[in-house]
Amino acid sequence: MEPWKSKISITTIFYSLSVLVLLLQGCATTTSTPVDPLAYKKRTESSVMGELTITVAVPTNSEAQAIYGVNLALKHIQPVWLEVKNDSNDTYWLLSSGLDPHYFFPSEAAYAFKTEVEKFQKLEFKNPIRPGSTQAGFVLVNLDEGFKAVDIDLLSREAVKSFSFIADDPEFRADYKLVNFETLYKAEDINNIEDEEELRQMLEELPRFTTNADDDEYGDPLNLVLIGEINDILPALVRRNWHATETTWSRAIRRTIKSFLLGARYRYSPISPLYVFGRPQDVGWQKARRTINERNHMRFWLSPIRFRGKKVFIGQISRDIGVKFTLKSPTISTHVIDPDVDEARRYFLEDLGYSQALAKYGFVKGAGVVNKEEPRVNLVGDPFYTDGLRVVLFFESRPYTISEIDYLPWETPSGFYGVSKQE
Amino acid sequence: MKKSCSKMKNQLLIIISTICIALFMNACATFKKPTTINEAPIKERALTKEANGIRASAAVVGDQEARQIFGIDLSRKKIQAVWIEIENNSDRPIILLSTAIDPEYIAPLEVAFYYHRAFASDANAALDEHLLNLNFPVRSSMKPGSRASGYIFTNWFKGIKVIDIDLLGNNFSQNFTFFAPNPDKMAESKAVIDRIETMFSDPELQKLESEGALREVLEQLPCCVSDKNGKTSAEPLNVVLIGEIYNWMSALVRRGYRYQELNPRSVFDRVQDIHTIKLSGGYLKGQEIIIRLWQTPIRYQSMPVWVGQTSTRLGGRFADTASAEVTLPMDPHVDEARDAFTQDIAYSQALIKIGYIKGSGLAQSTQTETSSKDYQYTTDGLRVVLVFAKRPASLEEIDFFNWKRLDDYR
Repeated sequence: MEPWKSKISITTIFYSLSVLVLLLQGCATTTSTPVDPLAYKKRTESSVMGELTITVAVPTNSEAQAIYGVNLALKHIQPVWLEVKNDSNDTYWLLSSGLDPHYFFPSEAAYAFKTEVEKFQKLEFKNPIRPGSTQAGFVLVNLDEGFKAVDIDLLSREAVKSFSFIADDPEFRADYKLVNFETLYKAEDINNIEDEEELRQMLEELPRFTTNADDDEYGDPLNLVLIGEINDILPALVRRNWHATETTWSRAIRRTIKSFLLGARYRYSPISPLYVFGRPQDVGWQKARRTINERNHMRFWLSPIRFRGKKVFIGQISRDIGVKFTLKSPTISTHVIDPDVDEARRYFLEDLGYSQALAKYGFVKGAGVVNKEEPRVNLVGDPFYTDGLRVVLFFESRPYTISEIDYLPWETPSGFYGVSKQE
Repeated sequence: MKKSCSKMKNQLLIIISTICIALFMNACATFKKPTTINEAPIKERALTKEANGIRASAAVVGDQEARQIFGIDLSRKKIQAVWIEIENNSDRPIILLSTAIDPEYIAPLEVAFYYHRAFASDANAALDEHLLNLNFPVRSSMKPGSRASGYIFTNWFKGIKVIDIDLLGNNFSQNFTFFAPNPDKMAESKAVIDRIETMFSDPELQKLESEGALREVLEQLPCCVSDKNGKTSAEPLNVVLIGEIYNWMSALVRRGYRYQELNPRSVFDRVQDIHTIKLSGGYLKGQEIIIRLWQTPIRYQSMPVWVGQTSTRLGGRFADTASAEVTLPMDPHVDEARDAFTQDIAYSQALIKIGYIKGSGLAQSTQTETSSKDYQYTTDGLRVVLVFAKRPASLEEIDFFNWKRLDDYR
């Protein structure tokens, strides 16, 4: 009778969860109060670089609807408004592909809503930006909820100028606010380092694994170190199609259950909180792959270390290759990670190698060797093994080609399979 | 109530018996490691190139071959293996960047997971092991004097596979690009490459050195493609690519373009020589841009000059799904595809120069062409000219032709 019993209980769980999903959905219907289509202009952020002034704002979903007359979010489209004031003597072009390698053409977005293209074209940001002129308009990109990382690359005959912003979405998730990296640590807690060897030592002493909230169980290995200003790191991630993502909570949980049970198509599922320095990740990022159940995801935390004035982040990357049931997550489903976690680390290095923002990389000791024969498990019980190293990535604002990337000969990844096959 | 209860019971029974059947079938189909692996035909047809003391070989693994080597049917999950061998006789350690071969390549254990079966943990572990062992040794760098070989798992595409190999060293990179024939369509793939390489004899070539002369000649190229009857004037020729085919093809592959057959169009009385499409194989749909290209007899500073047509299907990623080679109805705003292509390729590190010239000659926008509704479009009438090089160039290093400004034509 035992197997029969367990099947009934699965069915019961399924039905009760479906009911729960429907219930939760009921709570989430939006009220229709009129929205000021220009409200986003009260949240602009500006940045000046030489003779260029950039102003950016990201309308909320309801503001976007008021501007475009259609619910862009339904098709996972989000407008980003930008204004470029060009006081230089050169003509500049905005590279929309930098903002999102898969941005939407006005005609494509109009088609999605079977509506007139003229309105979309009128609102579009138009190149070029002539000397002494100002251009303003929208670029339609893939929707990110919570906050939007914006990378603006402007190209001219003489130079390329890159700007980056993180725009908060005031409509979204009062329970989660973007971390302010400037005020996260008190000045006296900051550890300023100038020397490379000293840096290496400090990096090796950073925590080895993520933990749970109570700090009494260990999770995934901390296998990344990112060094640079947020303005150097963000463009790299955005150009390579990484998207900042919310932490599993409230609405996100409801959506995850719904997508797991009903196969609803969501662009991204949230990622669960893991802890380092006693707090959940400062930012989570992900990059979609072949199916909804596959993705690369990455979390990072600002450390108190500053190397030559630049911020040092510690991070964790792994790759989801499928899903399974679990009772250890409030969403009852969790992703199965590729147990060969070094593969995802390597992918990250390679991927960002093409971002033109990676200047240097190397490896330091991190979690320590975890053998394939005796894998560890992360907080949701997925086995993993690793050579125990962390990759350290140094970001710069000037563009670097793959031929210009420096390699720091610290540790050398030995590889579990590589060595024996080389002749 | 009673009725619906018994109905539910029945449904439950059906579900359970389906699960049982599925489990039963599962058990029959677990992985068995192939006893012998014959790599000889792959190595034999592999293409090889050498530069700076590094020798690279590459070949596409056919679907049949894959079954024999990996013990699973890769094509079922739209996966195609590529065999790579690198011999490093340079004096520096190098690593292979798999993301160049396919920005959406699939890791060995990710592949294995697709083929895992329930209640078959031994077979699953054996499959993991088997694929990891056959994987190219990507984890460690290739030391001077060493040789490494193995497979990278990529997204499956029919026909020719453009394999872009980027090797990274300290302050150094080396690129090799191959047009690797698909063994399941050997003859066809070879014909395409042979045709390109032998298209023009030296006396037929029109050799140009100056930017001015180049512009003049490019502006005289035909305005548009025509349909296969050669009668109806169709999509505008709105791009010019200058550079060795391997250099711009490498740029395209890095940005997610794949070789893809498209419905025929005609220029110079022949159908396109090369066609390619940017099409995300992933869960999320992305930009879908198609390009058809024709080689011209023009050589600019001894680099081949290609002319092409780029557009998207009406609706782009929101269009109803049709097979990839169908490119109509076309989005009438063709300049969007041209501009998106230009911007995208700027990130490839292979683009070194941009310019705009008069193209289809429609100086004023919103002029529509042709008799067929499918081919109607609006354009500013410009043609973008892109020059590619082998050495990687950053965004900062991209130069512009000293031609008149874009808006002078508007």
